[in-house]
Amino acid sequence: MRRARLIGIVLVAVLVLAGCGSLTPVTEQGRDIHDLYNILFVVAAVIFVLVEAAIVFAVFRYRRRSDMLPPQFHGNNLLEVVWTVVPLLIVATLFVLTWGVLAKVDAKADNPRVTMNIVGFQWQWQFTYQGERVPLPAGQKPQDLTIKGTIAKPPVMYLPVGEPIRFTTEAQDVIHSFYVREFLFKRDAFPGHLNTFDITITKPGDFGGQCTEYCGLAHQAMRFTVRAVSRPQFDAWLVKAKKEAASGCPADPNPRRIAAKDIAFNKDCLAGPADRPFGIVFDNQEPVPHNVVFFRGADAAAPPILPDSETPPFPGPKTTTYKLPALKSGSYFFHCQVHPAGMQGKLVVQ
Amino acid sequence: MAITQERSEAAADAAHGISPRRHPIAVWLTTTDHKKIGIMYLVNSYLWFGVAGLLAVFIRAELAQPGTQYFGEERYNQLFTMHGTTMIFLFVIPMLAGFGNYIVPLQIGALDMAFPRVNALSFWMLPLAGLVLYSSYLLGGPADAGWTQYAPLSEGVGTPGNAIGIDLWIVALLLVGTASILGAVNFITTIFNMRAPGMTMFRMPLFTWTMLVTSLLVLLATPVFTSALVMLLIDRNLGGSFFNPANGGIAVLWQNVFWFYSHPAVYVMVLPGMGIISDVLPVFSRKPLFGYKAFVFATAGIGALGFSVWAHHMFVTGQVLLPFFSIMTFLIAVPTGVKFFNWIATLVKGQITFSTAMLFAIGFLTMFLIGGIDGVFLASPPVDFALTETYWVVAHIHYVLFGGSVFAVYAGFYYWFPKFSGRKLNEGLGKLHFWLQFIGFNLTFFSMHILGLLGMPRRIQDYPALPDWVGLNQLQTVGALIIALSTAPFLANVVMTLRRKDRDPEDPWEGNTLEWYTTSPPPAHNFDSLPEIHSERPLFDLRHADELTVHPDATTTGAR
Repeated sequence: MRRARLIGIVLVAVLVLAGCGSLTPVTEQGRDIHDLYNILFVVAAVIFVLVEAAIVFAVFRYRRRSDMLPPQFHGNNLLEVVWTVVPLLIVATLFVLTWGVLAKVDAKADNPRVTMNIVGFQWQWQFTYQGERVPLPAGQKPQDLTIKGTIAKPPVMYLPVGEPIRFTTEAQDVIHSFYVREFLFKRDAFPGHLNTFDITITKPGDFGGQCTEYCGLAHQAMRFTVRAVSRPQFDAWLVKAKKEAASGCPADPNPRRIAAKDIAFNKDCLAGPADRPFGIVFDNQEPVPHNVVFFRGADAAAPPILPDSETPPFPGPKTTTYKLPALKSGSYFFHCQVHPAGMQGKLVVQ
Repeated sequence: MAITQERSEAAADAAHGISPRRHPIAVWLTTTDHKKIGIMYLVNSYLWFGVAGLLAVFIRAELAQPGTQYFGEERYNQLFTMHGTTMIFLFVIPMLAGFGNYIVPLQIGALDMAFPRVNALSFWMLPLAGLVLYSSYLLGGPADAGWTQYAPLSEGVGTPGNAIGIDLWIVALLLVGTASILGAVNFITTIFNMRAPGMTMFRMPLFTWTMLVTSLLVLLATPVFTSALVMLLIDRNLGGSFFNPANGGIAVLWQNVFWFYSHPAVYVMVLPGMGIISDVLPVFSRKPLFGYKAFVFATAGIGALGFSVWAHHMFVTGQVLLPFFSIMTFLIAVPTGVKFFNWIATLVKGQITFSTAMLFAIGFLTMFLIGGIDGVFLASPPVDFALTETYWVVAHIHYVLFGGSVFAVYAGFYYWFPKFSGRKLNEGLGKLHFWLQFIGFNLTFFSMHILGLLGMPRRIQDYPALPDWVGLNQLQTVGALIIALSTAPFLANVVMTLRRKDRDPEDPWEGNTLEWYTTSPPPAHNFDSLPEIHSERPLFDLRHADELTVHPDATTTGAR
């Protein structure tokens, strides 16, 4: 039977949608969203199968068999009322369910122990653990533990399992969107507007995320990982990460060399000796012009260390060496003048 | 049968400023005849459909594997921007306006549109807009900020190489927007003022009704969009600060004004398609449309609700009132549901013939249903948090605009082609076209729901090789090639049919509505005479005058 076969195909398609196509949520909020999706799915599947079956049935049952003019009925007011009111009740029910889940997903904890300040920029993320101070030498500007990603080295965000975490999102340049697949959740990061939401992770593991608001050239490369661990593991990591942040460029055997490719630096940290001149080698590996400009302070508002004539942007592949004068011990800012938002980092002198 | 209007062909030609001895090209370039303009709309729109379809094939070629195949990030971003822009603004909207141009005056028994010269102006802005948009490929690269052009990305913040592209995009869309507004004024005036005697509002064919509601939507929404475009142009070129927070603007403002237009625009792209289906289903079921008035009210209801749902595109911005826009969006499912039930009830107890036009109409029913249902998921903010900006949304928009609008466009084309040319398209090739397109479409877009549930974001040129992502993308690429292939029998069909010498009957389908009363193709002045009009099916009444007692308001007019 063609009709049975068609209905069969439809049913298989529906089962495929229900079965393989979904992620297992790893947060309390994600579980609520998943449960709501399942309710919507069952209602949608039933309506889909009934209406589709009615179409297929009508099409085959009433195919032309003779030249007789069929009965010319124009409508039925009772039927119109029924098939207006019934869908109205269905969507009203779905809306009430939606509202309930929305309240839960939007709920805020009283005193979350971890607050993540997420900043999107073209084209990566910066995660700051609000209030987690890096132990810097006396006299330096206090700063919170910050993980800044590059395209070459996407960031990893450590978070504790089983407690509410406060997230804030905003952006430096254009609109981005913070999305973690297994959270079943995303929220935009706007320039000039701060968004806040809470999430409680229920399962340890590595969870992939990326920007989901198209933000220009390297949008697809704004990937990151959330690593959910137990509270003791998280505390241990925090201590280690803060120490590393205070001590120049950890785990880099060649901290006086930097390369550029795909409109990104391969690192965001350089290091050199205090109180004597040293050189930084810059290897531009692509035809896009880049340079490295160093500043006498924590951002580009400070005066540059070298005059402009010694740091012109140039297309690659080509290597140059910047000869820096003797500098006092401390942290200095650097960026690429052509792509200041995405290509930046710090020069640690000690 | 009463002759209610009569004009000589020469007089009508004179009224259209056509002198008899002019070169055919000059005639087409200067015509103000709504039928010739309608044909030009259709041809022009279909050419852009081909261009945008080619871009879609390029997109699918790039996504067939992770990594970079043929197009780097910059080229890829330009591809999806131009694909979306072209499909929506140069194909779907003008294509349906083209059917409106040709068919609406005929369906209401008018000689022409109310403002024939304005009509020609509206049309000629469209190829100009297309040329302006695509000239960017020669002038340093096209727009690459997505068809939605979200600010401040579209204001050149950090996007290399598109300086001129987005300005040309703005100018092109200002032209399209102005053409739409002029066209809407023309349709509204024509439909309100130029109906034949007896053609009351509630006797108008459904396609004409949907064109009326569509035109009202265009008239109310498009000026907001053109204003936003001018604001964007000022921000980009004259130091304005509407949308860029770095200069004191508000980024979300662009999304508000953009979607205030672009959501009603979805109905601009779908309602006329529903109208086509509502004219085609009764003809090939040999029954009147079930619930004519309910259908009209549902159309008006969708149009009205369409203005209060724009922010459902912005649930994850954190800057909209979620419950309000959620309930309004859910509510749109109700009038849409009414339409579905009326369509199905029209089939019930009919005598259905499966012409290609009818196949496409039934294809519309089955596919648009999916586009309606998968949209309801996105009406629920929590579920939208998971699914928006993923391939679920890509699946949804294509089930609405391809499964809906494109299937309806083909239904209308196969149905009215004998009216345009005096010849029916070949049914065998037509059915081959339908089945190839139906299969290719579902292969491509149904699997995108699953890809969206697996979390793959849209608008990315490269993706990680996560479980099932590669396989689903390959399936979609194969499907896209089948869709592209399906246009071959269609184009061959049109060419072969136009070269045929013999003519088919004037009214090959036993149509119900007034356009089938005149010759095929109609004379320049449309009608030598008009019949008496007592219902929404004047030709049916004529054909069965001896069998039926026709009463305009009767709910049942006795069968035999």
